[in-house]
Amino acid sequence: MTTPQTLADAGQLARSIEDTVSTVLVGQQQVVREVLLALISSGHVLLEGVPGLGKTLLVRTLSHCLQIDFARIQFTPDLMPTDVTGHAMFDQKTEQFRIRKGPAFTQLLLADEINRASAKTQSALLEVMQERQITIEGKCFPLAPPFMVLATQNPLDQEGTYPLPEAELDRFLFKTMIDYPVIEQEAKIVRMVLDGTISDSLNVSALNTLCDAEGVLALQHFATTVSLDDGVIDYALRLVRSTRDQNGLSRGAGPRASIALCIAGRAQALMEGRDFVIPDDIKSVARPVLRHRIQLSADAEIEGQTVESLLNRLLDQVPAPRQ
Amino acid sequence: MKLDSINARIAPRTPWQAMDMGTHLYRAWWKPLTLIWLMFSLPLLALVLWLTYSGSNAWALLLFWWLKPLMERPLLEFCARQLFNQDASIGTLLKDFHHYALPGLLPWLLWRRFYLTRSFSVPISQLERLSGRDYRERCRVLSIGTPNRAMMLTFLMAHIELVLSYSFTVLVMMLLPGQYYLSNVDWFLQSNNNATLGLITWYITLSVLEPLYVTSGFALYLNKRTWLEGWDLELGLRRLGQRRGQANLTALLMCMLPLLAFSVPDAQASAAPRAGEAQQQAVEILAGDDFMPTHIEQTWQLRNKDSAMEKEEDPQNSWLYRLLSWLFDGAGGITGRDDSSLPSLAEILRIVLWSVAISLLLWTLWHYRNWLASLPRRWRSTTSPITHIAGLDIRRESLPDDLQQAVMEQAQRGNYRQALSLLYRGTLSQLASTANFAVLPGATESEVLDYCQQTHPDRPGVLLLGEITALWMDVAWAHRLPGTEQITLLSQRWQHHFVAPAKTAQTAP
Repeated sequence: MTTPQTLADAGQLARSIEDTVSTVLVGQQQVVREVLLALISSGHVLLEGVPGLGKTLLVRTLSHCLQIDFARIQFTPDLMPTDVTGHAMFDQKTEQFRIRKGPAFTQLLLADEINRASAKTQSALLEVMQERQITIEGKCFPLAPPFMVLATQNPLDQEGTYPLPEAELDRFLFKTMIDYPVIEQEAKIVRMVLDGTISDSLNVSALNTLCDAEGVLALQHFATTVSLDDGVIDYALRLVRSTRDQNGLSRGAGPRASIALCIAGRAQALMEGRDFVIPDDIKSVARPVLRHRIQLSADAEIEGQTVESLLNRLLDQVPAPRQ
Repeated sequence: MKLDSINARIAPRTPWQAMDMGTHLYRAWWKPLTLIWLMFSLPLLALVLWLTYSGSNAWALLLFWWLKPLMERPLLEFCARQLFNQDASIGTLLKDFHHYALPGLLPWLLWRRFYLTRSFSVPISQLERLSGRDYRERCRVLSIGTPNRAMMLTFLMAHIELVLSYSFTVLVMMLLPGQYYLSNVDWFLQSNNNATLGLITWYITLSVLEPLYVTSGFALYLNKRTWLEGWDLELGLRRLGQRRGQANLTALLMCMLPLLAFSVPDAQASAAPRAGEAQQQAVEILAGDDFMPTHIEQTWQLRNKDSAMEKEEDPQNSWLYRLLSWLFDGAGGITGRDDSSLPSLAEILRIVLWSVAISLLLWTLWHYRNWLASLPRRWRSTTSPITHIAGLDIRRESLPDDLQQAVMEQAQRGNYRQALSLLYRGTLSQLASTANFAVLPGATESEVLDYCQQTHPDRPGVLLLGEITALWMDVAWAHRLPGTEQITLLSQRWQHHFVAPAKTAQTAP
């Protein structure tokens, strides 16, 4: 368990974390990569997928391998903001108000089925995500870094849900789609559980710890030192701006998307062991960065187009930078 | 067909009333009709289901649709036999299948398959056993007078069939788990299970609609013949004859001969009339309700409807002809006369219609502009040599004649970026000159390299392209300048790979 000293060490550590988590979360390499990229970029992730695909296991494994705190909130329609952030309680013994901290005072927060909570509770989480601090009774409590929110939403059952507003969606660095594993990977999972190689009870204590919170902060620091050419920044901008006048989109991505592309591109370069960003890095993170920041027009939906198909077309059409 | 044995009350009706009579026929005989449909169509359904399981979903659906005229033939035969009190048992229909179903079938599975008046025209060929010129002449005769609306019947049935079968499929889908949910219109062809379910729901819908379609078309056919051949008169007279004795009937027929000469061509009298008595009886019959029941009907109609009806018989007076001639020739076309009060209104309408047509054309062009814009590129990609790859100009004209020397000159001046750029473009140009490339503008250097490695792994220049790409990306994005030696080495290898073999080929006898 070491804290990386150089950018090369940081890249190696990031890849070893990815490999370790992938041994537990079989068949979800893309999800593991995107969550790690978000962690290195100090961002938050919105996970969308049907239940039972290992979202909680992913967070538990990350928490264990990185030795950072973990908390889970199951969002329900009657969940109050104070249930997330905490509240002041009058202690009759001391005759003083005592602060009871909520589950958001953690480092890795799993917000399960976030769209089941009311807008008021979602807004409370919004402040936590954006400001990385919690205000209770006028007093600010900064959260211990690193802090990351992994929110999940279920695409199947949309009754009784409160869709996330655009402002809150924009706060998520990535929207990651978690899907069923392919048959070979699913067979591998079954065999591993039957062999006892992995447990199906979310017990990850057998895994090696790879670093601690300091190590994660070091990863985040080294990611900011990855060089980014103007041509690559220009490419990220052109990608984002092309969503605003794209046929079939009623809403394009905002400036936060350009920033997110560059930050996530740096993390991607770090994980690939490079100290500079290439256009491929931007392109590889464009889908998770943009898919929740754009909205299909009604015409495009009727024609059977999807956000993914439009993003693919956009990535094919926007010329890659040539120096 | 023996009119004496007909099993229904024959009367001249409007086409819509005739279709309604078809519905009554279906309601009366729905059990045997459905049974006959199932017996003759289930074997074909089994074949088509087998085809869907073997993966030919679209072909299976097409085959089933294509053979619908064959499956309709037993239904029509049943209707005809049942109506005229002949043996219409299923056994007889099965035994006589090759007598009534196969003769004249081929045209109905080929060019006549697309006839929208099939329900009306099939009885002419199947029941009257007519083909070729006789069939055409008979069709022409039966098209005289008011339109029979068979085309409208087909349109209606096609829409009802589409709506019902699609709704039925959606209903089934709603009862299935979410992952099978219907998401788009080409869902039927996405998997064998989907195609099977779609086919079965379609078949169930057809089991109701096909007999109805056949009976309605048959009723239209009967109605038309009733109008043209006076079946109702003939039957009425025969009934009277039966009541009043053979002698009276023949006398009556002779008396009415002038009246029936144009409407009952096959009514013949065989005995001489007793003029005074027969005339009296004819007057009574004409005045009686048996001959022509009278009823008063109030409807709205145009003032000049009579003159319009007179003109209807002329094909030039059809609404389509008049609309087209009006659109292209002016207002006289639609009004059919030079009315000085209408041209202004007609002119406005004409302008509006043309505006709508032009707007539709412009909208279509705008809507498909991306696809249209990509057409020249697609044609060019198949017909003309490639000039750009991933946005880079790789034409020979854009590159220096002696590329190695130009690269070295740039490297010695310290312009490593330009030198590598030339080398990179030169390599792509050489690779594209001998192989077909299809790289999108959005492709990065790595993607271009991946594409070359996947599509042309055996080309010697691909390995060199990999080395040049790696060095180029270091220069372009990491701002790490290479040494002159690296560029010299790469340019020499470039010369060795691409220029030396070409010179050898030129000098060889």
